[in-house]
Amino acid sequence: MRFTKFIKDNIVELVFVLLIILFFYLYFVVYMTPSRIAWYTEMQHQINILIYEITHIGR
Amino acid sequence: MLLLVLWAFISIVMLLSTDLLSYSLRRTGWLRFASTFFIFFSQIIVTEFGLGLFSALNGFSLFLLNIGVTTGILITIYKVFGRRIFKEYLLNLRSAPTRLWQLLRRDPFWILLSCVALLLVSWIVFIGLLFPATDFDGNSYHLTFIANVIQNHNFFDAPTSLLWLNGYPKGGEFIGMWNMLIPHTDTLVDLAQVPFLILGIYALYETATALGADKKQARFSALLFLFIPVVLNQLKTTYVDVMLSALFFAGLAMLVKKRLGKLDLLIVGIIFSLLIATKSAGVLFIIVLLPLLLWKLFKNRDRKRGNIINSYIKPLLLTALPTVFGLYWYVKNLIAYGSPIYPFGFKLAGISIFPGKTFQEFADAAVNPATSVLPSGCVERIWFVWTEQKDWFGCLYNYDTNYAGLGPIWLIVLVPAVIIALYYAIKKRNTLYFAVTGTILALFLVYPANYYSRYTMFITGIGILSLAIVLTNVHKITAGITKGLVVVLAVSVFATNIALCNYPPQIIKAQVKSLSSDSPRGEVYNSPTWQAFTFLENRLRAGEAVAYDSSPYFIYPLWKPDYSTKVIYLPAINATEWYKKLDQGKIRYVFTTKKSLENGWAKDNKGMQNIYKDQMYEIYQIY
Repeated sequence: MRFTKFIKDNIVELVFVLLIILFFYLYFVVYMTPSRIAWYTEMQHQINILIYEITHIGR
Repeated sequence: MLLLVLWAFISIVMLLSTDLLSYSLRRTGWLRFASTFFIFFSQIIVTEFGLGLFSALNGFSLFLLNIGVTTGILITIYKVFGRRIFKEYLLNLRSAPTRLWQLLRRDPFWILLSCVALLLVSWIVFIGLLFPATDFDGNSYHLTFIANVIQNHNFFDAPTSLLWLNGYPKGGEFIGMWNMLIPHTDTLVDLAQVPFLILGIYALYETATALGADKKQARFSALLFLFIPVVLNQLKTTYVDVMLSALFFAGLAMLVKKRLGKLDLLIVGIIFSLLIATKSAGVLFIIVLLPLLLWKLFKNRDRKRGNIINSYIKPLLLTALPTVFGLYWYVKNLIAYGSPIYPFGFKLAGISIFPGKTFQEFADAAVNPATSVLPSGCVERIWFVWTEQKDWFGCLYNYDTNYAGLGPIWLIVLVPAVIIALYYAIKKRNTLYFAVTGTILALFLVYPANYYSRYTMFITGIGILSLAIVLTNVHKITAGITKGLVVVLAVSVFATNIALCNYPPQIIKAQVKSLSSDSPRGEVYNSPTWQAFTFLENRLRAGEAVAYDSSPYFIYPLWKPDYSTKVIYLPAINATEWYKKLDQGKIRYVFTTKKSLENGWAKDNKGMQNIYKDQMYEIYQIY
């Protein structure tokens, strides 16, 4: 009973959270295409270079 | 350097004087910001236009005229409001940071998001200062127009083979020109959209509060406009799409105010004027904003003493007054080329009203169905772009990508927020919400090629306003979780945009090195795209003239960075006429794209020697 009441009282917020989860899944799982993965890997590579250069400034 | 200091000085003085004017008129908050912003830019555009009309437009005359106008404004304020207003204004300015801090110190999520935003914008400004404009349209026609103004001291159409150079309205260029004419360098020109980002964010905040959102939530949501990747990527370009969307948001923010005074109506007119003067598609923005304006006038009418003239005609005339100014480009195009929206034509129900290809036909031709990975259906295309399924030649984001651009915050948080906000709007009978979101949606639906995120980045406004309403209505915990997720996604946007596609760390390092060794445009111009231009730049001497051909890609880099050379196009129907014009124009170099008509003519002339050749271009020297 308490569970049903909780759902009923917070239905709009629950739908909001569920929608966010659904769209998160769509964006980061379903449509994580090879071309995007390749790009993210390149981005990580660039960040590593940037960090390396920042930490080695002046040396 | 001295010219840059002068530019900064005159900009700050003008900004302070227009803000003092707004303050003297007892305007506060958004209304003060809007009047300061639009009077400032109106002053810039009107003075440039006035000087250009008499072929007297250069950095020096522009500086002097604006000193004169600003002095006039200050004297008028002194005479009307007295000396006391200056003291009051200074006190008000001094207390502003304290008031802002009091407001924000209890808002950790906003502070966190602001820090990421500040870091990101500072980074983009740094890249903007370090690199010259390398964007395609900028080097093709945005900057070419400004360089033509520097060369000819007016803004009249110069002979060209590039349709876009004379065709498009030039409101955006007039704004960019301010950053270029006085400093006499293009260092700042590709950052001209940054102030409009602030305008867009403030306008979204103001609209959200007018729709019933809590100020704290509106502040947080409005900042998300910055975390739209295509917005970030456009900030370091000479494009005008962020400008256009921000102006649209400003129009919405003005029209949701409870009452519109005379100055407010004039400001709405200035916004309309800038919208149509920035892009031909600006007409669509005005068409969708007009019903809101009429609705506002209807609500504001004086029920007892009001008649049609006082309630509608006079306010509409006040709005139309500045709007007419923006129509200059359309009248000029109609007279010169037969179509007000030249280089585009216009068809109504299949019947040609103005000659030429329509915008839709241009856009369709640009996307070849045989080679494009975009789906063919309208809805499928939008979904493909919103879910960001394809990179743009190696970059996920780029200032002109038609495969992605709105980023994860839009799809993951803002789209669900629209659905939930609809529920709250129906429940609370929030008609204003429907009016505003209906306006944005209508614009999206009528916009040609609306899957293209750079054209329709304004659609995120619906999500931002909706999120502010949702966060206001949901439980504290839900709001907290959502905001936490948004901050995480904002950091992800930061990480995926740090190189802005073209500026990875190695290139930045090389650029710093080359600039410190006195190379005016730096290492970035040593790439294959720009090598021919760098070659020519090194050969050119002050006062020499370069002619380009009938199939140019980029024209702007043909000028030396100090604009001491001339760049012209010589229209000719045959080789003999062209040779004659080259001789009469005292042309020293001819810059040709391979397979162009002039390239063949140059090859056939023994008085012209080929001095450079690559896969795309050939340069000839005339002896």
